[in-house]
Amino acid sequence: MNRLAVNDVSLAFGGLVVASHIDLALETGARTALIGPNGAGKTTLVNLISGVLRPSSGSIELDGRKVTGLSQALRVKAGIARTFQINRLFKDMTVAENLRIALLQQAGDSARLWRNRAADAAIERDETEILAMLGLRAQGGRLVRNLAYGEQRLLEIALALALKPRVLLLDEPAAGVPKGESGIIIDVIRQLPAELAVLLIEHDMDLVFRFARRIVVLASGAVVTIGTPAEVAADERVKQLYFGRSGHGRS
Amino acid sequence: MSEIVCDEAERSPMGVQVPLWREAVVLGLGLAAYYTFPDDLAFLTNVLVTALFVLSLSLVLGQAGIATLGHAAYFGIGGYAAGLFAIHTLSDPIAGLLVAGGAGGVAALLSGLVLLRTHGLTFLMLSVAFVQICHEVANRAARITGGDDGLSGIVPGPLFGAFDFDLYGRTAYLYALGVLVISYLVLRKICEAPFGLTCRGIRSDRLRISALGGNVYLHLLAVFSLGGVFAGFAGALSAQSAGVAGLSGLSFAFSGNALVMLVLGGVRKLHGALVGTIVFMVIQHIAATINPYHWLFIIGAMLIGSVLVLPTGIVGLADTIAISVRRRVQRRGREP
Repeated sequence: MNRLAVNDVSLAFGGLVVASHIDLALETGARTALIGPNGAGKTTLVNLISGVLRPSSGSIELDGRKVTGLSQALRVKAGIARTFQINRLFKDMTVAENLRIALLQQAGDSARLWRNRAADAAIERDETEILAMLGLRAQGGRLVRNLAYGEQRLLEIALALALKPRVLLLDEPAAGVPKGESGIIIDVIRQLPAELAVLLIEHDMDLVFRFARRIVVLASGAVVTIGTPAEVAADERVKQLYFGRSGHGRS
Repeated sequence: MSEIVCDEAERSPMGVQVPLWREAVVLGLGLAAYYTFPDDLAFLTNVLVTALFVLSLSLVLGQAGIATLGHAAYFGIGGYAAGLFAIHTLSDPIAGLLVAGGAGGVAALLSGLVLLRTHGLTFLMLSVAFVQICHEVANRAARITGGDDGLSGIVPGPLFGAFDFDLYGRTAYLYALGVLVISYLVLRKICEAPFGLTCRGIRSDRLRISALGGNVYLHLLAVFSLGGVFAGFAGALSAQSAGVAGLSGLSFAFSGNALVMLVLGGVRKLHGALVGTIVFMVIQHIAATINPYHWLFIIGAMLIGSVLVLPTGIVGLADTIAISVRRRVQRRGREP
């Protein structure tokens, strides 16, 4: 059974179709990339899966259970976490506090009115583990707004991981990161837990081909093709999409 | 958790771990004022009562970022609840205090159910409307509340069954000081706990909390109700120490004054509420004595000055100075 299944999902704003009959499946441990030119509807698809938008038709299933009617918050609880294309962090708080807010939400412990040694210690263990996984351990006490942009992108991923998701949607994790720093983001993404199903949206083809086992190509709100990196690279329609007009490798 | 969880950790200015040192400072200053100004206890009690009210506003506005101008509604409701309870049921002050806290909390919960569906400017206007409606209802229901004359004849029984409320206001002062110190301790612990951290997260970016799976509405409703409880406590202290619960405690103007005190002291930290209240009320007291007609000019100038020069309040300024002094000392220590 697929971990995440997107079945024939469509969304239109009046006459503007932003998603048209999209079928997509992620198995456990999937490493799938979603590519396509600007305006293809990639972020729209992430919004549909994470519950920010509701589809006009079609359904979304997590482990065989329909989540189409659930709010964003309930989908997070069900196991679908996402990162944002533009950082959404608690800027005036420390890195550790940002992570702790997410961990407390995940543990359903955010309304506790008193400190509790055992519960706080458990949160702190998770916190240390995630910070170590992302190489942010030394930054725990720093204010987020004083971090380098690349580190802020890492923290964005850390917040999603703190929710202990089964499906992780990464919306352009390397967006805006200088070339010199994007290496650490690639390293982190390649070390994500093996059983996690990951859907990566990315413009950086370097990153996509190093990460993905499957690639979904989207254009004008519809799936053009799905295949292995080699298949997609050889596909004439994809070449047309990416190289046809501009002749450049990046959209 | 380590000290990064909250800047309110148990670290005294000397850098030593001392539990409850902040509460000890408040208690010490309160007792010092008691022995230094024995003739001004009525005014000083009023300062303590207002400080507790501003503290409850600090929880709602400073921590959770709910900008309200209607917070006095819960103070006023608490005052009437304590007064009516003392007159009709039981004169024990502690029981009256708890009843008033309950009344303030329930009022905040019920109004919050509707008000908190909105936020920002809409919420601000609705909160003003709410306190005005409460004011008018209390004014019209003169048979219960005494209307414009206030609810008089509130005579609290002896505290703990042993200490009578005396003519000089000594018992009232020490009672108010005790309630303030305990409330401050409880609120500070709540701010350090996960609940307070999540409040600050909501203040910073409420949509991000939703994206993390949090229920922003319920969390804000909880903190708003909690603020109502402590505002109700303050209302009870006011009614019990003055013997009267009046319309002035239920007014938009009082909400506004409390906001000014909070901004003056600093909204981000709880003790900003205490500092702001003391500074504001002492200056007001002195200015009104010197010139009973134009003292509002001084208050106005002080507010403009503090907003322009001290965006983080007196407490924020003190923190900035403390940090730069500490840095300088460290630098000097490192030099050979």
